[in-house]
Amino acid sequence: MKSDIKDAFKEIYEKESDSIFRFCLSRISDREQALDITQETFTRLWQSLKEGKEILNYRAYIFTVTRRLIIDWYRKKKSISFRDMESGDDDIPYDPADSQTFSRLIDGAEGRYLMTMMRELPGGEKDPVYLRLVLDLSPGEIGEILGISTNAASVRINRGLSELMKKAGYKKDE
Amino acid sequence: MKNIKLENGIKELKGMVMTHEEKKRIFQNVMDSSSVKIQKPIRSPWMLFLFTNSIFEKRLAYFVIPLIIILTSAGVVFASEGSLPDGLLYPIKVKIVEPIKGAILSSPEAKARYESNLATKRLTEAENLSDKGKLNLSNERKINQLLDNHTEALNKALNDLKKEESREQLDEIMTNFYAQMNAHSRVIEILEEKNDKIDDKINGNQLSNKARMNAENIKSNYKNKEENKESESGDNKNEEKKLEKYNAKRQIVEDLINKTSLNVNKIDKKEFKSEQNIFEDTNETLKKAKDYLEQADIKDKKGDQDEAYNNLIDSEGSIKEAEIFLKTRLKYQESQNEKNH
Repeated sequence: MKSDIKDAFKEIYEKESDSIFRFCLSRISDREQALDITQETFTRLWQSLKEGKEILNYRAYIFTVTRRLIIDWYRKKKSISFRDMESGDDDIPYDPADSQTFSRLIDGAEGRYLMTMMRELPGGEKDPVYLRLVLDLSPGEIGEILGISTNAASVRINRGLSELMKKAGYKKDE
Repeated sequence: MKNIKLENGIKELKGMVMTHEEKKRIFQNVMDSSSVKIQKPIRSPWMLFLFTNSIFEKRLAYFVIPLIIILTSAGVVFASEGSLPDGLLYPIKVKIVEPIKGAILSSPEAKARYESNLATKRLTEAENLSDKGKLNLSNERKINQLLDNHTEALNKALNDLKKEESREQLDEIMTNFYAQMNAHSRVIEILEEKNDKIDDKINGNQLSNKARMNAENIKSNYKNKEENKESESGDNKNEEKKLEKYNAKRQIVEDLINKTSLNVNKIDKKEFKSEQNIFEDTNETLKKAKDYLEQADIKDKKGDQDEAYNNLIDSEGSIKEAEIFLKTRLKYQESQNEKNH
């Protein structure tokens, strides 16, 4: 029984750990901290599985936990006001890394440019667009993570994507 | 939206990964975390003189605490029954009374029904608050959290029920839960719209979204698992049994549709004017139930018994939703009349 849980956990870890790490790193621009949060996320998943807790959608579960841990990290380290966090805006902040750190994090000019443009998207659209484009999450999963309906998640993805294309100066079929 | 620059940018962003060593180290750390034991605090020597300590030490707590609760709080318990999330007695109801009642239920079926009813109760509490214009963010969060707890407990009970191979009871509880969550979510939205509280109609109401999502999760969880199980064991011997089960369920669903259609036709549309939204939703769900029944018949004719049965379950869920809309209409019509007088 225990080895079943371990195998299941290992499979999830292999499949999702890079996505979780990427999600953390894009938000806090600090590799060691991103690794810490990734570890904490999977520790919580492992504990829950061991305690026999039923997880209906493990992908939504780990991304939700990661999101909360990032918010906690900002509360402790970055003095982001409680009001900003609870403003109803679904976005969590991005750490404004300096250009050197930023270059170290993303290995490619096109990626850095895209990330900068995504950070400039209006509140409520950054997370859905990032989760869809870079982490390949479905609108249903994004809705579950952000606590909105699938329909609302789809609307935000499409709206955000159009805005991103416009901001970045990308054209369709180019 | 195809664009080479965008695709290259995404590809580069996806290149942000852990090194092999980092990945291995974190996995090992997570595995090792299980061996960390929580240290018990050092006992104070003064604990020996405490009355409460002696109760816990001698395991008298199992008898003393329930006795104290029974003797001192019978009145409070009774009073807490009708409390709402903004009330002082509400925590007693949801954290003490209801869990105790749930703990004495032994069968998974009873537990599942109990948790499903509690989830519905939470939504009707939200409706009552909304009707009074008191459904604020804090109350919504409380109810959201409780909804998650009830859904988790329901999921566990349904899992146990599935092990007992009680498919019919499982289907009934699942469709009831699905119908209740969807119908009451919509009612909350309608009431909140009346209060002009849903500014962003695309996002809807968080509580309603949560209830719908939980209903979808429960439905997909059990429907899929049952499908897999049936297809694994699908041989000729089962076909007759499946057909029998299908016909019995079809009769129930058809009767429900006829009964609800009759009730809808009896309604005076002028009287329904003030609840136009509920009327539209009732008709829409009724139509959906009929559509699913038609699809079930088509699949039955094609010999796809499993899919046909699933369509029947969907039809049953929709028709139950329509019934709930009708009952809710009566409730809020009465409340409106009282307000007018």
